[in-house]
Parts: sequence; structure tokens; C-alpha cells
Amino acid sequence: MILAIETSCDETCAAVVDGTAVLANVVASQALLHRRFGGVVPEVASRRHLELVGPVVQAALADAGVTLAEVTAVAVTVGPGLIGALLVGVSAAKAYAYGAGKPLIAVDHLHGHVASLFLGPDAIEPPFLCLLASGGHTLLLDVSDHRTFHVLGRSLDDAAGEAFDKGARLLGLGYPGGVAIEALARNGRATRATFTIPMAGRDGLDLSFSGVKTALATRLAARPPASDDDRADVAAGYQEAIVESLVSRLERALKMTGHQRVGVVGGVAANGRLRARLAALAERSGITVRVAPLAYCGDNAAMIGSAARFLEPQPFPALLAIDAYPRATLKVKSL
Amino acid sequence: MPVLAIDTATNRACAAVSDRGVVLAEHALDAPGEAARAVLGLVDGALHDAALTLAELELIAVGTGPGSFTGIRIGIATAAALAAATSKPIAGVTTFAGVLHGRDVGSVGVIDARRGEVFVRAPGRADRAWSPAALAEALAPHTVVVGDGALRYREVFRAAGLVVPDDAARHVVSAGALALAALAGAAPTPTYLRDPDAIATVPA
Repeated sequence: MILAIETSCDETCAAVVDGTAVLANVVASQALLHRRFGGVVPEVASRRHLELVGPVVQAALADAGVTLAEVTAVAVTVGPGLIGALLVGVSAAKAYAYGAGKPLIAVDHLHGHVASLFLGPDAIEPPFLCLLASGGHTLLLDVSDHRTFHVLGRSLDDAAGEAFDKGARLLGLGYPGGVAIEALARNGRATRATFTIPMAGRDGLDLSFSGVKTALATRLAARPPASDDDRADVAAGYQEAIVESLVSRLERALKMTGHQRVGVVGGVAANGRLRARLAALAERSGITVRVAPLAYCGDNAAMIGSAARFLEPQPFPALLAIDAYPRATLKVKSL
Repeated sequence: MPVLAIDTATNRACAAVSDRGVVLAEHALDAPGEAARAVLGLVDGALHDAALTLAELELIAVGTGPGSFTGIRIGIATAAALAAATSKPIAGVTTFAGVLHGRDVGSVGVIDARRGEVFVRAPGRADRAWSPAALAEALAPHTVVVGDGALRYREVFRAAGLVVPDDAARHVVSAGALALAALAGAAPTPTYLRDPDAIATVPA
């Protein structure tokens, strides 16, 4: 039974995970706090993490009905992410482990997202192809076992979730942008406001989202939406271009790798249009497509506890030297 | 009663254990950016030298700043989780107490605030950030200034007739001093003394 802590960006999270079962999963979102800045402000996020991390851990233990003494290990996200935010969770986790005499498990945030697919009754087993799409990353990954994955393709500029956030700002919508654009797009028709699909027909498996964002800015400047319907059409067209790009690159990766199973994770995996397109892909191709449950798409600590099961616990005194890192060190695989 | 105190707000990360008004052990590391990696090792070393275990402590104290925002949070997050894991009470003490304890009465605490400023505790004034030049002008000549900010801007202060002790040991944060001051401590609220650099684009 693992107590897991995650504070890499703007959600303060703690969970208690026992094998594939999630006994508690507490997420204190800071979205409302950051809304008035139009995005995450690292110093604001870090200050809030410090206020919330203790109460969130207590809430997770209470929800699971266990005490710290009863868990076998503490796990924590050590990177990549906002360094000031990460250090709050890492400092707390180290002290919980040291104070309670437990080993500590250092978890990579991206491994955590992949491991969200190992939770619950519908878990899929490696090897599989994984699309990780969030506010910070957009990656196509070859997952060879529970703890090993290689990058097949990645966004060369903005992440898909970042494209939603920036698009929402251009459309005068709130933060986080994915939810706002999806809600507006529901009232619109994508065919009335089409955008060039990013990277369509290009070789390789890399992605790119800064061009479609610029196209949106140009379109809004040249032809400001005349009505709410008009605006909804633009939102729908913009969403469609992002989703189509993700799905077509995923299909291309399937052909190139021969994988028969696909996992889709990260905050963008919560997008309803993407989920519908993935369901259609599964139906059409017979390939197993597993999209992370909604509760585990955005940042959460259950996925960190899930990844921790497959990593080496660091006992005292090795745990004392664990530190956070801001940037991902990814292993790349060329096909 | 055994007290553990830690402070990572300045470039010196430190931990000390005191009992009945006596500092039993203090471990410190002058290594900017290393606080998160180092602090629990310092705690473990201080407990070991004091021949005490975490379970025997009666209070955990932490320096709440001012200083590096990240350093303040590393200290408070560490102390709060240690206290929670061991069911001990926690007390916050301003890092100025770790700078000024045992210094001459009337001394002014000056902590490096980066960006060309210092955080200042001076008798009769509210704690806040100053430019070294403005502080030098505001304080009476012969005032003793101590702390890493006093050392960093010693030429500015000495030119204005202030006293900056030569001994570097008189400018560091003492976790032992914090441990002794902790009995009067309050909730471990961060003492940032400066707002985040963020501009609201949308009204609250």
C-alpha cells in the first residue's frame, strides 16, 4: 500500500494505492486561482501547494481509512515540472518517509501518466503504443514494460493542451482552455470553420501545434466572429484540427509499430471529441484502445502510486538525497 | 524539552537540536540550491550527535523566512511533514530570529532578498524589503547590521558609517538560535515579504 504525492504543476494531489486498487485519490485543483492570470503562475502555484499539501495528504489517508504507519512506502513525483512546485511535494514526501520510517519511491511524472493505464479493472498490459497529451507534453510512446517507454514522436513546439489553453485565450474563454473550448464547440459545426490539420501527410511521428494556434489568431483578427454561433463554429473547427492531428499521428504510429493495443493518457485524453474519435478507431480497426478514466487524465497522485509499484523503493539513508528535476530526460526510439 | 529546528530560507541550510535552553548539536551546509537534497541529512546528523531520536522530540521548529521563496517552502514542507509523521507540534519562527539571536541589542537583521534588495528587521520598523542604499541612509551611523545581506552589501553599509562585523560566523542563520527561540513560536506561516510577479489579466 503506497501513499503517493504529486505537485508538479497546479494540482496538489495525494492518493493511497494498493496494487491496482485506488483507495483514495484527492486532487485539490488550483484552476480557479490561476484563472485570473490566464495560466499557471509558478510562484502562485508553489505557494498554494505549500498550504495544501499537508491537508491533502491527511484527506487521502482519511478517505482510504489508513494511517501513515500502515502504508508500506511513500511515492512522489520528482520531475519533470515546475521546480518550485515539485520541491514542495518532494520535501514533504521525504519528511513523511523519514519521519514514519518508510522507504521513498521517486516517480517520473510522465511514467505516472503512462501508469494511469495500469489502474482499475480495465488495465492494459505492455507492450502497447501510448499517446500522452497534456498541457506540458505531447508524446507518442512505445511502452515495452511497466517501467520502460521510448519516445517515437513528440510535439516540436506547443503541447496539445497548451494549444487548447492558448486557443481559449484567443477566443476570450477561461482557463483551463480544453474544457472551455469543448463546451463551446458542442454548439458549433467544425465544417463551417476548417483549419489545416497540423503535420498532415508528413513523414515521421512528430507533432506540432503552434501553426494551428497562429492560424486561429490570424482568422480571429481578419474575421472576428459575428455571432455566438460563429464563435462556436471556430471553436469546433479548432478543436477538430487538434484532435484530427492527434488521431492521424496515432494511426500512423500503429501502422509503423504494428502494436495492437493503444493507451491514451494525460489531460487532453479527457476531451470528449478525442474520446469519441478513439472509440470509432477501435470499432473500425479492431485494435484495443484504452483511454485513461476521466479521474486519472489530469494530474493526480493515483497514477504516481501506480507507477511506483514498478520502481525500486529507496530506504533510509538513500532516500535523504532524493531531489527534484525540472526537465524530462526521455529515451528516444527510431523506427 | 528537546526541540528540533531547521532553516533553509537562506543559502545556509541548517538543523539543530536543543534541550532545556542548551544547543546540543547543529549541522549546516552552505550550498545554494542544495537545500532540498541536504536538509533531512542535516536533521539526521543533528539528532545523531545529540543522541536523540525523532520520537523523543517535543517540538519541531522551522524558520519561516524571509529569504528564498523556494527555500522557505522546502523548510516548512519538511518540518510540517516531519511533525505530521511523528505527531509532534510544530512552531514557526522568523528566520530573523536565527540571525539576530545573541547579537548586540539594537542590531539590524539584513537577509539577502536578491534582485538588488535586502529583507530587513530593524527596531521600530515593519519587516520589509529595502534597497541597500535606502537602508544605509535610513539607519543611524554605528548601527550594527548582520545577516547574509549585510555581508553581501557591506561596502554600501560601511560607507554609510554602519558596522558590519568581519567575522562571517556572525552573519549566518543559526538553527540553534531558532531552536532556543521556538518556544515563543507561532503557526508555521511563510514570511515571504514580497508578492509573486504575476499580473492579473482577468478581474478576480
